Amino acid sequence: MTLDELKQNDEAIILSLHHPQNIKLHLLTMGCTPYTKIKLLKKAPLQDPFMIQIRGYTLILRKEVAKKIEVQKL
Amino acid sequence: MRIALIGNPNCGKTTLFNLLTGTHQHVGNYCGSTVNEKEGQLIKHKHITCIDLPGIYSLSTYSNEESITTESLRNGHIDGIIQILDGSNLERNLFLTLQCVKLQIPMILALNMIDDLSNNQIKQITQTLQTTFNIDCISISAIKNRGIDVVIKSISKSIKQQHLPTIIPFSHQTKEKDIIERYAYIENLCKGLSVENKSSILSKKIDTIVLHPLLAYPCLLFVMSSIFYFTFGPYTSNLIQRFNSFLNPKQFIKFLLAIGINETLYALIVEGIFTGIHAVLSFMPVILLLFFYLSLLEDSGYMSRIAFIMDKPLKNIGLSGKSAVSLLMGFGCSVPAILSTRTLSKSQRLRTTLLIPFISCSAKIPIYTLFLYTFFPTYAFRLIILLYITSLLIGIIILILLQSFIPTQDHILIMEMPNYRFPRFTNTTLLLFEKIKEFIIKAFTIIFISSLIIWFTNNFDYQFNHVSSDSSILASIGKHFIFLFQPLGIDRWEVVVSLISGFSAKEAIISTLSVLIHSPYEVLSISLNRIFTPLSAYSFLLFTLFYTPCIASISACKQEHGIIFTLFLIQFQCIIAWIIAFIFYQTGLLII
Repeated sequence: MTLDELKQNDEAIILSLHHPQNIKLHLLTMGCTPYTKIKLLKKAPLQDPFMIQIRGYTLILRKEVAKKIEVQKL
Repeated sequence: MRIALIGNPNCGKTTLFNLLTGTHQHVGNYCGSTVNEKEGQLIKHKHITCIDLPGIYSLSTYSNEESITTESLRNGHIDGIIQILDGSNLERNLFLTLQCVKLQIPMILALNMIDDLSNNQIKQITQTLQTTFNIDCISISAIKNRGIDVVIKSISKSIKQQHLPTIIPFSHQTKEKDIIERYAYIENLCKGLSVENKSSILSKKIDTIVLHPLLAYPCLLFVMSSIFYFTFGPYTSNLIQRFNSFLNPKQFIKFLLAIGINETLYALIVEGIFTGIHAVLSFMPVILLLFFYLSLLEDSGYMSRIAFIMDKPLKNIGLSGKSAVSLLMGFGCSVPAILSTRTLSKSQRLRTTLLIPFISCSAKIPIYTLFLYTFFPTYAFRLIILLYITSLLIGIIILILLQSFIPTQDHILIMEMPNYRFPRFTNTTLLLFEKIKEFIIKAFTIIFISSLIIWFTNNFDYQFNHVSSDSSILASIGKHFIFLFQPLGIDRWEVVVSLISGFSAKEAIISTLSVLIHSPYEVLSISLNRIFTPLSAYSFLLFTLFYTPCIASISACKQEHGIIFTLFLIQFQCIIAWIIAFIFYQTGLLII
């Protein structure tokens, strides 16, 4: 499944990123590496963007970006 | 000796920098262009210069911000690096450390934000990092001013001994693998060191209300309207009056008269310089108030929440949540707002820069407050809000119309959401101090010179004969352009000249006007009543709201986007301003 399919407070593990190279590198730099645990904290009032917890901090991603992050729900 | 402060955004870097340098700081120059870096001398060690680089996540070059920092580190003659680590967020912070050690510059680590860590954990972390990188790691508290002296001693020692950090080798097959390997290494290093962050628990609680699906937008509306209310509301004119009587140069004028100063010189000083500078300085408290509220928004962490909830609406016009931050800064001053767009992608950046001039900056506040409290005292506050909203709406409409001319490429937003923080008293006071300094410098340079020129050209003709202002150099210039402004209801050359002087700085409009109509601040509103009707006054306000940005933001724009885009922007703004004021005035005439 992909990150955007998670519900609030769901926890998951990142499996792979399917983005163009520049976005992929950006995400990796921010710590979104494969096998990292994440948690969907909240969706914005209009359902986009998402607020996720990763490596002890909070990251904001748009739905389009989240759609291309493959995760395994815990 | 030059020391660079480097670290992730929101790691307490600016707080540390302010502690180290106090008021001895100024914006630095790098690689030929002015950027956001600040530098300053240390309070206790004047021979050490400290450079505050923009907060970054990595030294690679995905964003402009990062490439500037990397460039400064390589070519900025840096003798030593202090990297500030956020103790509550070690993993991502250490990623930057792994890259910094590769630069092979004497370096130390300062472990900040350690409130949630036990003494034992702190010891464990500092020891692990010290042995791994073979450099000093010192726990500090930037907020409580603890450990700062040790940091300075340690970095000075490392520089003297040219003590270089250990490079951790990675295979570097592909960029992607490299990053993954580094994070794997860090995870291994940090095993058992990460802790749950207490301030993040509190932040989450606040966010359940502030970012609640139904309450989020009402909250935003409440915050923004409170800011405007407390800046422009009923207290405003009272505040200006009080500050104005405090500024009054009566004693000095008496003194000038007592020593029997030459008549022309007296006129130059009192009618030219004093009137101009005084008119501008009177509005300083209001402008400071606005900057104060904006800094609270930013320091508290609410600004990022605005970015979060405004991202979806802004996406529709090709912007992102981060643009909201730049746009909000634009209410203060366009220059930092334009520079702050650097963190955006190219197309978002261009769009945001196009929209920034439509965010009315604080330099225009004197014009609005003066005119609206003169002509519409009971509705002044509401009309000011109306002006702000009109300009924003028109900006958005124009952006939609221009949509097809700016290619949309990437629609990304990858942003860290910082925890809420209590705004730091020192940071806020330093910011306000800086703004006061900036404002006074502006008043005594740009406004001083323009008042001087205006007074001179208003009192002499081309042969340098002392003449009445109606046949002066200025009058002849102003009269040339007056035909352009007559359809807008402006038929006095003095007003035309004041608009031209507004190119230098928007504050100059008021100072010029007060010099030209021979009215010091106290009687300015009475004289304005002779020149404008309420209708033409509002038309004048609309024109000033939209027409070309000041010279400072023009040069910022040129530096960021090149000359062609900037020239386009200037002409475009003037045309828009004229059309809007024209439509308003002509419709107004028909109705009245």
